Amino acid sequence: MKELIDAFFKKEGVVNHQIESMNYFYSTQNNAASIMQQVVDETKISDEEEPGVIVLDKLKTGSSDIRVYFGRRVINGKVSKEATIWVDKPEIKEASGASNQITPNEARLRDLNYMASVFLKVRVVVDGVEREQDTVKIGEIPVMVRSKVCTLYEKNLETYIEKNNGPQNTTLEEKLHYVGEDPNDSGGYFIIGGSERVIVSLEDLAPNRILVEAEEKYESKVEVAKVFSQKGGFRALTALEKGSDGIINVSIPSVAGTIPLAILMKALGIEKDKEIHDAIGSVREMEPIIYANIEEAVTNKLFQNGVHTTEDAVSFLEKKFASGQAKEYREKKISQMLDKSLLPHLGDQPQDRIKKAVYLGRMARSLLELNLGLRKEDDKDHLANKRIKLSGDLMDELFRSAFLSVMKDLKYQLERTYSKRRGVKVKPAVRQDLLTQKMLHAMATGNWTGGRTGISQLLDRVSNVSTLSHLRRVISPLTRSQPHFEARDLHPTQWGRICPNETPEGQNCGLVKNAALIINVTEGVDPTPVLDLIMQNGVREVVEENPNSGRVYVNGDLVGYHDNPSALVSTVRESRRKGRLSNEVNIRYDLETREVIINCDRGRIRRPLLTLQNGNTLIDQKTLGKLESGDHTLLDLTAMGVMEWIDAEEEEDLFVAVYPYDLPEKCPKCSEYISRDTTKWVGHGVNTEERMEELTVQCLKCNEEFKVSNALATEHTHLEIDPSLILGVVASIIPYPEHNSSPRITMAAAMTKQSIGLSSTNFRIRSDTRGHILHYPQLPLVKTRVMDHIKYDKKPAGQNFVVAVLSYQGYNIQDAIVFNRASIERGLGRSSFFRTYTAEEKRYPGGQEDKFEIPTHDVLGARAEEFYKNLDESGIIFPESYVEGSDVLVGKTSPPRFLEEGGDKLGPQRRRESSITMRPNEKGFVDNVILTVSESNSRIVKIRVRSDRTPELGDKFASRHGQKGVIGAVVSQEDMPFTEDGIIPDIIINPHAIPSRMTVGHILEMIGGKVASLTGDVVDGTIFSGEPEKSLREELVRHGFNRYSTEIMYDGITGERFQTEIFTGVIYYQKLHHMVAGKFHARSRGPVQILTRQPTEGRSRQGGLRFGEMERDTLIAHGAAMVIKDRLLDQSDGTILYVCGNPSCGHLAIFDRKRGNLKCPVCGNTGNIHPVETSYAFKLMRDELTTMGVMMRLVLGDLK
Amino acid sequence: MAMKILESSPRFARFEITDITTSEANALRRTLIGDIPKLAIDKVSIHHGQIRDKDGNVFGSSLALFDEMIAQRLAMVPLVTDLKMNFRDECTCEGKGCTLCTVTYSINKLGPGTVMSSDLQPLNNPSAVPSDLDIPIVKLRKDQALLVTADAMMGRGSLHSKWQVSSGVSYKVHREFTFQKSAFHRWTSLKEKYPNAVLTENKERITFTDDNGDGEITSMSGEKGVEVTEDQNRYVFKFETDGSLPAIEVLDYSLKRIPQRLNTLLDSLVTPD
Repeated sequence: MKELIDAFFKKEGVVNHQIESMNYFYSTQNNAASIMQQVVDETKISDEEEPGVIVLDKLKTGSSDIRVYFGRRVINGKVSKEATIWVDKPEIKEASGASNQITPNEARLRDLNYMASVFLKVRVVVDGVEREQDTVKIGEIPVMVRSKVCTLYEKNLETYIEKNNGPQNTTLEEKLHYVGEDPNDSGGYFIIGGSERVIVSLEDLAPNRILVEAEEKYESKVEVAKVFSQKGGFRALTALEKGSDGIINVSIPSVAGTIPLAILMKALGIEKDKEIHDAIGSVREMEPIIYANIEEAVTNKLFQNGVHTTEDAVSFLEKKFASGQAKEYREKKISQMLDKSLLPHLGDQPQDRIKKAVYLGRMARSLLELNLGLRKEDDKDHLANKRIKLSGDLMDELFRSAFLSVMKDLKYQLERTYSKRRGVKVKPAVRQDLLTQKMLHAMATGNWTGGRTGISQLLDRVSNVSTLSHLRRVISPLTRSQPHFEARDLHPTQWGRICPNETPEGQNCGLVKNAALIINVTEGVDPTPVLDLIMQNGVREVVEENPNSGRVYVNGDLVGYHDNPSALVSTVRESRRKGRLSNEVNIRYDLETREVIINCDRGRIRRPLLTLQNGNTLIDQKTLGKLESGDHTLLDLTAMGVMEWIDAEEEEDLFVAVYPYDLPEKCPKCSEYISRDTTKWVGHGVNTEERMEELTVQCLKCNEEFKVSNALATEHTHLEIDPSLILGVVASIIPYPEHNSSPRITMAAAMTKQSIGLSSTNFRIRSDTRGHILHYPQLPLVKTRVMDHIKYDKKPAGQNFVVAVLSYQGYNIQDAIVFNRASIERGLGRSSFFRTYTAEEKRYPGGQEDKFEIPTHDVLGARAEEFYKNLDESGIIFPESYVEGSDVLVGKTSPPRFLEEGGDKLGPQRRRESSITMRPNEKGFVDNVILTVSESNSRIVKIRVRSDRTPELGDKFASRHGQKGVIGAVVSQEDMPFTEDGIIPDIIINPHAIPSRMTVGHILEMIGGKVASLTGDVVDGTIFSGEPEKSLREELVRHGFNRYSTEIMYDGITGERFQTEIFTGVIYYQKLHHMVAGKFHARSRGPVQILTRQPTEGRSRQGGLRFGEMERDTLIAHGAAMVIKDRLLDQSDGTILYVCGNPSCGHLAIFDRKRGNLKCPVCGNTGNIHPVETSYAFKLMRDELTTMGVMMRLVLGDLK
Repeated sequence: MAMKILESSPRFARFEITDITTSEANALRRTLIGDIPKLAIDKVSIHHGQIRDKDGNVFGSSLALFDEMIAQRLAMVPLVTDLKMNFRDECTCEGKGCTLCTVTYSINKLGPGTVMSSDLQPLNNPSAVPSDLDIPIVKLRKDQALLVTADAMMGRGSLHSKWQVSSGVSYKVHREFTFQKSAFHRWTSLKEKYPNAVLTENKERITFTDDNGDGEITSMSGEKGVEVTEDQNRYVFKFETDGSLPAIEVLDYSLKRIPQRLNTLLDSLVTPD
């Protein structure tokens, strides 16, 4: 069903989930149905007040009742549609005071924040009289590129261009060109301080549902039932634990210790033992445990005279958790505990307590069911028990806390500045930068609310696919250090939702994941329609259990019982397929526990499946045709019920067929080899009343039709759209991956993300700090269908190499690659490296500022004139000048530091030289100079230096099959082996790279590339449906090659024919960004650290190569004492100390400058002073000991 | 030793040499690849800054491709070579550069359009034009222009592939495929397809050669009823040139070049004292 995939990508981009999520978050003036508005409506300034309003303290307002409403108005229980909060367009406030709308590229170039103002509409009500309405700016919020508030959003872009007198009536692509944007850029990221940042999606345990599991504790099995209760950003874990004695204890967050279940239920208001029993029990076997728990409460073991009533229970809790405190405090503490900390999703008012008690009973029931073996442990790694937090959800958390602090501050400011005469003035009281700074700080550092780090990351721009993959990443918050073996494993429910192969190796393996190709993350819909529907269809809200009825859950809450669960499920499913229910509703009937589970909450990853009826799809060719022509959207398909988005929970219920039929090897009509890509199922969706024995398939090579037997049974409920959709974006780039061993695909996916190519088409006007561009990027000769969807052909990252597989003298052992020098000289594998240096004319307190200029002689630390020769009169370098070493790019002087330097004589303080120089070990040409102004109106200059990276010894290359290698030799063309046709390979790889790694896909791609070169047609290597191997081999034979793709070759050096024929082919190779030019390093002399006087570390600091412990050991083994001394002392931090020879002194002598002699400052001795050679580290230690009051005396003596 | 030219065109040659050793054949192949003099651009000066046309319209010199890329592309353009030209380090000008050893070119192209190899204008040697005139160098937008002067000098392919005259240089050993007619039935179709490849034929067997480069015959080795014999002293060569020199001239030069190089040893012979 290629058409479906095409239709999906025609409408939605690869990072659509990110953009949709933010679109749902942002509130606009005409659309209040947003998370932002919801947050505003829910915000409570303090616990006592209602949400959505600020009530000023009467003590501070002269006893008038002043209320500032900021949430939406609620009239007769209906919420007004009018937004009270909205996001404007992305703007920057210039230092001149003017506000200008900005484009993403302007933000990138000027190091700006791509943010938009947030406006809040407030109503002031004084003593019940509505006074005024006011719209105030409360701050700024980061704007996601390509979201609905972004300047690049189609409608916004039009008005922006119009306003800036840009070209009219142009295509979207031209418009994007005009604003300096890559038309094929996916968006989905933010721009903070000029750098692109991604909010990576988080995977989390599903909130508000009961999870039961058995734990091993002290060698006894303990059953636990947990609920991560979540309400409006607040999250609390409530856990029930059944000990070996059968007593169930509850642990509540922010409370130390546990509470017996029966007592807690009594405290919550269920006093009668029978009610407690009924709330828990479902089967007879539970009785003894329930009785034990009830008994436990009424004995006087825990409380004198036992806990019988709610009062008893509350005083038990008071005694346990707040004993010895004042009565008032005790009461407050316990109500806090019961209302706020315990199960907050059920409510935070005292009237919600009964609900909580019933819920606890239900939790206990699940726990006992597990204990009795009626229920299995919940699988934490099952995707049904997980939720994905996209950028919108994370932004929600951040905005919630920032907005609350703005509102709290507003309340404080209003109370502080209130005066009867002036009334309430909201506008001047808002501290805008509070919100802005909170949002900015989190975005810039990745430190989110709740102490999580690394939420926002710098967008990976190495290649286009690495960018896309980064935007589709899903990380698990589990700690990297603990093993978590099960969490790292591939789970069956990840099929079609999470890429099975794309994950890093090492400590993050299996924790950092990537979304599969077509997924949908639910936004969450209101459960009311579902509830109405199921209530109409016979769901009863009785508490009593009946073995013949099934329980019905909606979003984890038990809503009732139904006598015929499977009928209920099909009714609900039918309503969804008819479009009466939202397609976001997913339903499952668990036969084992007789539970109906309905979900319509946020964050479930879903995948599309085709619905089947009697072994036939419901979708027919007419619908597919309409889809292709654009008359239908995928949304129509779900509304028609022919396609469904299925979450992991519902999928457990389904019987999904992978293929509708099996194909013969060759077309029976034209005898060509066929694959699923070159055939089409015709006549599907017609006559769904009866199962057909045979299906009609059309061969796209001869357009003839033939019959195949139907592999779909009537029992099949759904059909896979295409099994190739199980892979993610990166793994989909690999041709023939089904022929490779799985770890190699994982490695190939990791390496594809490091390959350089065309990362963005606007690279000439971008100012990334580092970047690579491949000079002649090519389309792969063996491609996959997915490449069309992610527009790989627009931004490829690799070249097709002619490869021979043989050993070459030993220059390609251990994965090294031998390169043909002529190929390199003709441009193979060439790339350019960019580095951008930034200088700013910073302003300092006191009115001083940096200045771009050529430093003159009187500037402190100025270099010789020739260092500034490439600069123009304003101190900025000319474009295209050659720079290397530590050449000056921008001449800059800074104001003198306060109370510093000045040298020996006091005089007027001099400005300091603070020029921007090239990195010491890089060279290149100045590619571009951008001079602009920052937000604070200081000048910024960005200088991009470009350097040519011709492949050289040690550069790293990799095919798309995890076959990486570095250049081991660059060999002249005449020394390379050649075929009788005169073909000389570009590279030679070693045959040992293949057998143990089982990368058969690599072999097939080589053959495929060769066939493509011969026929002039690109070969399709899509997973499961690519061109069949036999077809490729036959094509080779047709072109006069042998079917093994081997050829007679001659040694270029001796001219002799090789004994064996050599396997050759054409395969796509990627240049990886690990290049020798950026890594090689050596040092003879160089800088030392100030503190220890030891050589610096690291290439960027021209550091030394560490002569470490083990290296020292080898010298000891040789007895090479002088070499050790040379390495560790002479070439490191050797110093001469002048030691006072007075045996009772032993201090260090100082040099008396006036007299010109050495003198011990302690004992005054001048004659008996001796030079001693030690390491400076030793002297440092001596000094540090001195500071602690420990005197180290050096007692000298003769060598014996 | 005998040499027979089988096929020859200005840019292609195929010939057979009999009674030649493998190393001699290889020496000839290596000479053809790396030891033929050719003219190629070695030094490129690109004008930076504004470029004006006659009417005073201003064009920018900042192009889609980097200067390094343009220089590399210019260097790869094959130029019609006169073998009488001097190598610069052997020239009478002592390496300074003169008309005997250097051809200077200029490109002066205003956008919009594509700079082609035909835009390379030789200034001091009108015959040293690019041998292919339709090689694109760089595309110019409407406000871009390219102003370049470039010096071309003689060099050899072993130094850099831009000085490489010939490509696809290869030889193959002479092979004979004798098919047992009774055991190998496909001989009839092969005979029909490649009548020129048949060497001998009798009732029982038929002998083909794959010297014409017919891969299908080559791939018959190892099949049942096929006997392959190789003649290690008989080679079929082929190569093509990029048009900077005619194929025959290249062959002629390389045949003279081999003894010349060997003679350098003779020339440096000194008597022991």
